Amino acid sequence: MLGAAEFDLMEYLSAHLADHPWDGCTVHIGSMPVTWMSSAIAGMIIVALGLIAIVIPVSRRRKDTPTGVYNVLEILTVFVRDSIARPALGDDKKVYKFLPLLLTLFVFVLGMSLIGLAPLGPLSAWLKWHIPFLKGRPIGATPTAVLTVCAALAMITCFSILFSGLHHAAHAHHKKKKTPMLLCWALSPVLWAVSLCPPIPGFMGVVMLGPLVFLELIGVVAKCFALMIRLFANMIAGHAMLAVLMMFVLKGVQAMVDKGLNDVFYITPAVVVGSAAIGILEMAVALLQAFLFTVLTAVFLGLYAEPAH
Amino acid sequence: MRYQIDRTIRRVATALCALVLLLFCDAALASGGDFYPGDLGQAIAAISIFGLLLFILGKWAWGPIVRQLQDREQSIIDTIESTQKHEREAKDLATQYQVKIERAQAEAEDILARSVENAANEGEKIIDAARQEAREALKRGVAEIKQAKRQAIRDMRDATADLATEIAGTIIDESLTPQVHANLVDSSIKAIGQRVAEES
Repeated sequence: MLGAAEFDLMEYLSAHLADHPWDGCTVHIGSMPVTWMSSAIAGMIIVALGLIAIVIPVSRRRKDTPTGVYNVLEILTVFVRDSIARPALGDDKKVYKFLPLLLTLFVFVLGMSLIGLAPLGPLSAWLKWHIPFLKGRPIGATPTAVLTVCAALAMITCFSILFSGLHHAAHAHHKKKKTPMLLCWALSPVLWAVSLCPPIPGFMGVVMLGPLVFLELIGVVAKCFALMIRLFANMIAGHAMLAVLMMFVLKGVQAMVDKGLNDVFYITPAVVVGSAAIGILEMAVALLQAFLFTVLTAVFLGLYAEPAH
Repeated sequence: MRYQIDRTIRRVATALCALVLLLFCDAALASGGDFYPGDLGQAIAAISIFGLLLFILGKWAWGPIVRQLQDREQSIIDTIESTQKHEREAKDLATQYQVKIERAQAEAEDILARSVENAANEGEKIIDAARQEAREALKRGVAEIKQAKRQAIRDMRDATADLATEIAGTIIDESLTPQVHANLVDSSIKAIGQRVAEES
């Protein structure tokens, strides 16, 4: 790359930002490619294993007076419960029902955003010699910078809303009208959609019901879509900025090699300092995005899963 | 002011992110759409891994932690409620004691007032009795004095009679000269004076 006459910016950015499916790990269903292993999926697996390896042993250290690392876990739990779940969901029954989902979402999104900042590229190169199966395949992409992963996370929120909404609508109708449970479940999509709309009395209520249901459903989908775009855009923007800054070093070295411009060498320290600063900012952004994703999921669950009106 | 600064920083940061994303997308489109946004595989993997993680962490991590938290909070709430209950009971008890103390004070004051009144009555009675006794003693004294006076007069009369009898006897036995007469009168007067002095 360095010796090339033209430095391909897009190739460089793509190499740093995009996911890299592993060779031979993509199958085609019709014309649709389905990758079953890539650097982002490897990143997700590492995050999940890391969380299991850290959180479960730490959670076993619980005692009446929390100490050490368990304190951190408890503070996180209390933070998600008191600062995210309670303001959005209100009722304690609902809070404890959705708390495991919100906690897992928070740590999973945070882990996926942070793993992209870890220098896993050299690790994958090193693993090539110790785990032959890997054959030097990359394992260090940021899963949250992959659009379909963000879409999947947004779908998790959407499914949670949908399932909780249907479950609540069916049970509420069964409790109120004593209708058979199976029938309630069958009617639950209609009951839930109607429960989303504000009650309008009289003929106008009947006329407006259809458009209002349609608008509310569009609202649910739009909110989940915004959730996806927000996470993806923030992650990709930070990474793009880091990649562009790091690219300056390569461009400087290229200028030194190709044109003999020794002065550009001095750009390197500034770029390294800038990259470190952006790296710290990226960590803050990762934390913020995990928080936002969880908060918005909680808010949407509060709004749509068990609507008040 | 701080809110406005925060809002401005947020807007600038959002604008910068949007600009970078726009440039990136533009570059991606310009290069023939080489950017790989992922496919269905990553989405399925993300949902599966998340589901598995939710099950494992929910069962073996969040569940026990939340239960522990709830137990501790319940125990704290119970302790607070029990403390409040004890405080209420102590307050009630204090109120009851206060009422009892006030009642006892009132009773004590009543008893004291009655005692003072009784003491005053008794004092009056004692003084009246003493006065009465003093009056009777005085009356008795006066009567005794009168009696003694009468007795003294009677005694003096008897003594005078006896003396007169003796003097008369002496006169009869002796011939009276003026000198003897004078001596006899003097000695008789002295004898009467001595007897009166002895009897008084």
